[in-house]
Parts: sequence; C-alpha cells; structure tokens
Amino acid sequence: MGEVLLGYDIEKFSNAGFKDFEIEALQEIANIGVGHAATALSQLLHRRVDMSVPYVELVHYDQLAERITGSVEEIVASILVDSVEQENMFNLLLLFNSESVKNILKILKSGDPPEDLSNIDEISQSIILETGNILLLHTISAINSFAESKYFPKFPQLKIDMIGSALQEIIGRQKIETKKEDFLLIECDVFTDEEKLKGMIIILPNDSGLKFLMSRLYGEDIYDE
Amino acid sequence: MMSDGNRINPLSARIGEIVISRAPDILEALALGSCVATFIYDEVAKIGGCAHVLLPESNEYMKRLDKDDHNKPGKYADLAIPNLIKMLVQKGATRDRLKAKIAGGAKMFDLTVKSPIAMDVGERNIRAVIENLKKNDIPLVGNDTGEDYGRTVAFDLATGVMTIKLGLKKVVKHI
Repeated sequence: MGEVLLGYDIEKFSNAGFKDFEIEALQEIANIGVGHAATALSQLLHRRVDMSVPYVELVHYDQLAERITGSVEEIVASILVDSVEQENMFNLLLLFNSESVKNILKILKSGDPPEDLSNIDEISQSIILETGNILLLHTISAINSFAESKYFPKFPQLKIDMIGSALQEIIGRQKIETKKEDFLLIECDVFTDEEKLKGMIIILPNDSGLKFLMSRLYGEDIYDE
Repeated sequence: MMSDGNRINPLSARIGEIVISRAPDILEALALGSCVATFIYDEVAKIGGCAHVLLPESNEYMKRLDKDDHNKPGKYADLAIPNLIKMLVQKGATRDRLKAKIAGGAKMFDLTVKSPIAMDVGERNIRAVIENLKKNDIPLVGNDTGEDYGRTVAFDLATGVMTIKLGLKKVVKHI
C-alpha cells in the first residue's frame, strides 16, 4: 500500500474530503510526473541531476503559504499551467523560492544572479518561466501517458510576487470548482553537483477533472457504491 | 501617554477573518491577491474593523457548509459586510458615522474557471464588496483595487489612513 512508502497519514487525508484511492492515484501522479520533470531538467541543464523522493502532503489553505515559505509576504516565482480536456481541468502551479530562482539563473544565464526577486530583467523572467514550463509540461505528459488522457496545456503564466497574493486566486478558484479547502502539495528537491532547487507543485484538478482521471485509472465504475 | 514605540503590534486579519479594534491599534491584511480587505470605521469613536474577503457570494459556494465557514465571518462579501457592521455597533460605533476603505482584488493569473461566470475572482470580489457596502448605506471613501500585483495593507484607527505596500515594487501609498 502507498501509505507506507511516504508515511502519510491516510486518516488526515480522508478527513479532507478526498477518497483513499484518489490520494493514492494523485501521489502516483506526483511520483511519475516529478521523475519525468527531473529528467527533462537534466537535459536542459546538461548536467547530472539527482532528486529526492517527492513528499506529498494535504494542506489547508490557511497554512499553505507558511508551509511553503514561512511568510505570506515572501516573494516567490510561481508558474501556472492550465491543462484542459473538454470539461476536465487539471491545473498545476509550481513555486520556486528566491534561492531556487537564483540557482536557476546561475546555471542558465551568464553574469551574477540578482540580489533579490523584486527587480528581475525580462530575459531572466523568461528563463524562469521556461524552466517551470518544461517541468510542468513533462508532468502533464506523464499524466497523459499513464491515464491515457489527452490533457492539452494552455500557455504558461509567470508571476513573481508575494506568495500569499499568488495563492489567493488559486484558493478562490479551488473553492468554486471543488468546494475543497485542502490542497495537494508536492515538495521535491532537485540537486545538481553544486546547486539545489526546491520546487513545490500544487495540483488543482476541478471536480470533473478528478473524477475523469480516477475513472481512467480505476475504471468507469470506481465511484459506484 | 503612549508613545509610538509602545504601539501594540498590528492586528492581522487572515483570509476569511474579521478583526475589530479601536485607536491606537492598527489593522492589517497581509499579501492580498484576489482577496479584498474591507475596512469599515467610525472616525469619531475611532473604532474600526477589517474583513478579509475571499469570495463574492456565500450561496454560490456554500452548498456544503463546513465548520470552517462558521469560523470565518469575513469569507464571503455578502455576509462579511453585515457581520462587520454588527460587530462594530456592538463595540460602540455609531451606525450613521461608518465609512469604508477597500484594497485588493488583483488579477494574479488568467485562470480557467468553468463555472459559474467567466470573470476573474478578484474583479467579482471588488464588485460584490462595493455592492454590499451600497446596500448597507456605507459610503466608500477610499479604494485601491484591481491591477495585477499583490498588496499588503495597514489601517491606522487613530487617523483613518490606509497604507498600501506593493510587496514587489516596494511602493507605498496612503489613502
């Protein structure tokens, strides 16, 4: 059973309105997606990349920002990809803290990395956006290949701002789409020989997107009692 | 006499919360995105409150009313404003003197939202807050809403001045 592997508290998960099999599947999606993404990153960076086992957690929106950075006002880079298959949506939000952003720029761009994130030039912004986009697209293609789905990603969006501000729209949207207030957060550390990148991915399926994925993975009658 | 150095820490309203106090306290809402911080105050009695509004309408999203919604009287604009007014009057504010200042409602991402109306959450929050203030006869005297950036907002109950910091650009505005 999956719960032994990462040691998550299955009781806590089911209290949040997710079913056991949904959690197991989403966790598997996380594992496979992040694995693909790390391979892609390795090719992009032309260097050996090691990754930690992703840590999956359900977090209430009240604690989400603090869980990721420690402060709602901390500036982070967030990359959002909307992925749609007809009515079924599956959105991914990737967050890099400032240290990871600086490390990405250190690897991919000549010159000194910026002092802080408040004044980043356009080229640096597009490097961060593209790095995030590659990671998220590989996660989506991993989902497509094992769920035999045809999720089509829309253009990626980058926002560099306070984490609390970036998350509020996501929290509002999640409440509208699924009535859920807990978020599936995947933490993944990627290491090169010198740098460490910490990425946090938040998976945001809408209600029909979640049911669609589950029926693909477990069969159409999974929700029949 | 209380000097500036002894000032009590700002009282922070988290998402969905309402906080109420009187001068010399300062109310604040950190890292606003699409949320709208609604400050309603009585400038004579120097009593005021802040509601950190997450969504425009309660009935639309409250099909399954959970525990959380009960603990968060400021979560939905249509409930937050009457709740805030009631709490202020109980605390000793005069209903006829109440005024409002609002901030937030930014559009951080272009989100695909399937239902119910294709409009961004921030924009709908601003409209809902303004409508509900009008419905409750509270004049709106200060407004810094919309755009596409995060804001941290503080409200000084002694002066009625709302201070807005843009986290990224380090710009400060006073309204």
